[in-house]
Amino acid sequence: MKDKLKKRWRKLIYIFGIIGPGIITASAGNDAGGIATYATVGANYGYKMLWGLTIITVGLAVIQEMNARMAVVTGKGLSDLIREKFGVKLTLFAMTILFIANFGVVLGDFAGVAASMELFGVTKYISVPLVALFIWILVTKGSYIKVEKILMLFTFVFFGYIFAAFMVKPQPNWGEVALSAVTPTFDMNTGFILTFIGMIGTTITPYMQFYLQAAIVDKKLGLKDYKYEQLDVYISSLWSNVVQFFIIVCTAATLYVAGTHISSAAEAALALKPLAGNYAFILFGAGLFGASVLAAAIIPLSTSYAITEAFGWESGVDYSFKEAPAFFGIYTFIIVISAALVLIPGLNLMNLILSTQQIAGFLTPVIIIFMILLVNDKRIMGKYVNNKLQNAISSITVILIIACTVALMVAQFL
Amino acid sequence: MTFSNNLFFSKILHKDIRNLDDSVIGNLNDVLIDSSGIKPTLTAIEVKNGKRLFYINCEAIQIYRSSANKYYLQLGSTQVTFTSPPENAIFLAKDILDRQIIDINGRKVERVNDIRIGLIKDNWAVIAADIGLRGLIRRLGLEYAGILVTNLLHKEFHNKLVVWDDVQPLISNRDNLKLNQPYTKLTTMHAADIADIIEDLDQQAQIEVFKSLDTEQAADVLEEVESDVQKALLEQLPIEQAADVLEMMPQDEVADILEEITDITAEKLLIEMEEHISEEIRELMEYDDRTVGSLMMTDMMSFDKDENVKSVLKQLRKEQPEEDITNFVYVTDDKKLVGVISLVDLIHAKSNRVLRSMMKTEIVILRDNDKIEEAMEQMQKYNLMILPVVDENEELIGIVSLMDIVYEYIRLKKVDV
Repeated sequence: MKDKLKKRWRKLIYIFGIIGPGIITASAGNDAGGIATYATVGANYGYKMLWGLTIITVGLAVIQEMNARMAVVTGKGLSDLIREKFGVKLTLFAMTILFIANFGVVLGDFAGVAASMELFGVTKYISVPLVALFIWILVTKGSYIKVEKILMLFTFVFFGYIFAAFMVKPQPNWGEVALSAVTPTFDMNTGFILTFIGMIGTTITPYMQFYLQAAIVDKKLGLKDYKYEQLDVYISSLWSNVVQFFIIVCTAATLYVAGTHISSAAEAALALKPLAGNYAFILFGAGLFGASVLAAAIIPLSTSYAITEAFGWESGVDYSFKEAPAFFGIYTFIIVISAALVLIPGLNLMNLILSTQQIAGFLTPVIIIFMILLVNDKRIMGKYVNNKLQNAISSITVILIIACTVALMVAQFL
Repeated sequence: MTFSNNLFFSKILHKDIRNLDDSVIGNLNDVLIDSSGIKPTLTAIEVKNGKRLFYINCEAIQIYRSSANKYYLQLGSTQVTFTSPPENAIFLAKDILDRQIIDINGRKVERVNDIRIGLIKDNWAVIAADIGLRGLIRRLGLEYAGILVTNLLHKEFHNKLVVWDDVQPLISNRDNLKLNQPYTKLTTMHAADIADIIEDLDQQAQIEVFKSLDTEQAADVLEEVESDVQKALLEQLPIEQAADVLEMMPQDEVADILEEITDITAEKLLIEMEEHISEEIRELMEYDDRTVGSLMMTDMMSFDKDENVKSVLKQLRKEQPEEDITNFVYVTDDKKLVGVISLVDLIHAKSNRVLRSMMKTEIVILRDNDKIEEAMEQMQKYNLMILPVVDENEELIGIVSLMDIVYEYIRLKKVDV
């Protein structure tokens, strides 16, 4: 009996061991850029963009499932596969795109550090250099894993939006919310389109695809674990977007109704007032800080891994700076330069965060196109190539983003 | 224009191929190779014309180099053309360029940035793999810019080549494609080096390389790799092959590994193994992680007290046990441990001496349920590298080495953190 229990327990631990990469990736996705973008979507446009979130939730789930499938079938990271199929020139192109997008996201996250600490009255000239140094030492000394879990705890704050949405008075018209989630509406002005692209960019960030695939490969999951990993990816895509959905509802029901446009973290924090009253600032500040530090640590590291692996250079925190100059060089460059840029006096931090997500949004389709070509290659995937539905959904996601970019250019002339 | 007999593959990849009358017949899309020899030879080129692919034997191609260092491909008079490649053909661009190889001499996994090919006795052959930065720059079409920059810095822009004799390609077995000489170059390497390389490979290459090792080498390698790789290998290897490998390994290590993998796989492996081995392993698996019993070796040298030196030495010669367990032989009386004799004493002794007359009877012993910290203390106190282990009936059930204790102690420390 005891043995049986032990066995069942072990099986459970085993499944939990498999389920995980998706959840961590999704949590890191709700970083400073994510929170700021969703809060702005709700505050400035009410429920108008909820339908877009519905579409990209499906798109995200399908795209991340492609990553999971490539990881278990090939056992290789995304940048390895890109290099092996597309050669040096296209790999350089893909890596440049990844580098720019990731650099932007890290910049946004340092801005998030600055904005969150300003809520507590700490100037960015102190908080940003300290956090940058802390992250740099933490990761190069290899003790990052211990801190990761603490940082993830901070991000649980954002679940508060779910409760806040049900506590806000007057209550949002839930019928209207549900209808908005499935009814496409589109405003042909640059502000709307840019925000919409930013929302896509922060939800399906280029770095996520590389990070998730690498995480599954690292866990040495094989085809037999695939059904669990598929579940992990679907559940975490859905779950993270539930949080995002309620951030939008919450900010729409409070800020949009009051006509407040978000221009600082303090205003974004107001949406948590129904839940936490005057403690909303503390709650929001802590969550934003944790999420920003988590992403600012993970993203430079995963960029270094992706680029060095693509070109066959030494990579890993076990090496010294001299043994793996490219790995540490890229990592240090991203942290130092993005932290330094945030320190430029007179920057509007909120605008900086939002525009980095928009850049990620423009670049995301490039990486997804590489992925679609890889996952449909029979030489690589054998019988595990995409089916028609998967191809349709991933292509529609790409087309939607490109269409938005085109609409943006058109709107500039209107 | 000079005739070229030695060049980088990237210089001709995707270049136009001209017929005798100077008309373009298509571009060089890839090259088929025959890898049955030490150096693979180039057999045919894959020509792409629009969407159409066809193949021409390599002898028909001549490569010229202009004074501006550009390469031209020209067809000779005799040519054999065919429209589909042989089954399981290996391609230079698709299967080797941009992929990982093992550098046997440098003992590392590297990525192929370019490939040096050359004309050897009228046949084009693969000479070396380019794994350096210059190869990458060349692929980007910026080699001359790179040379200019390094000249300005008064440095030389070196190529980093690995001669093909030291290259072990890693071709995955999709579509059951098999190398004619699979991973033979690896067998000359030390097990610890192979283990390091396997840890660097992706999961499929790991299993491919591991499968190709003979059972004895596979056992040594499996002992050396990190535990997550051990786990991955065992769960993917065919059960029979995995069981054979485990039978060659020290039983305490096998017990440790089997505790880590899923119960179903562990059970399958134990059933597949020879019964007397699997029974001992099962007993070891019963012990708690922190006890001496969990890491003792059960294949020690023990003899009855009435045997003589001659027969003991004869058995030692026959069984040839590994050196770390032969420093002492243990003397038993109806399975109970009664004495110990060092190998040196045994060699010096007259061959007709009976063990009971020469054995030492004050023995330092460990019990199977002792904690490993206690074992460490005993070893330190008495300056012994190996101690015998007895159960509650004073019966000898195994021996424990300092190496295994230290290894386990450090591992448990890590787990605790």
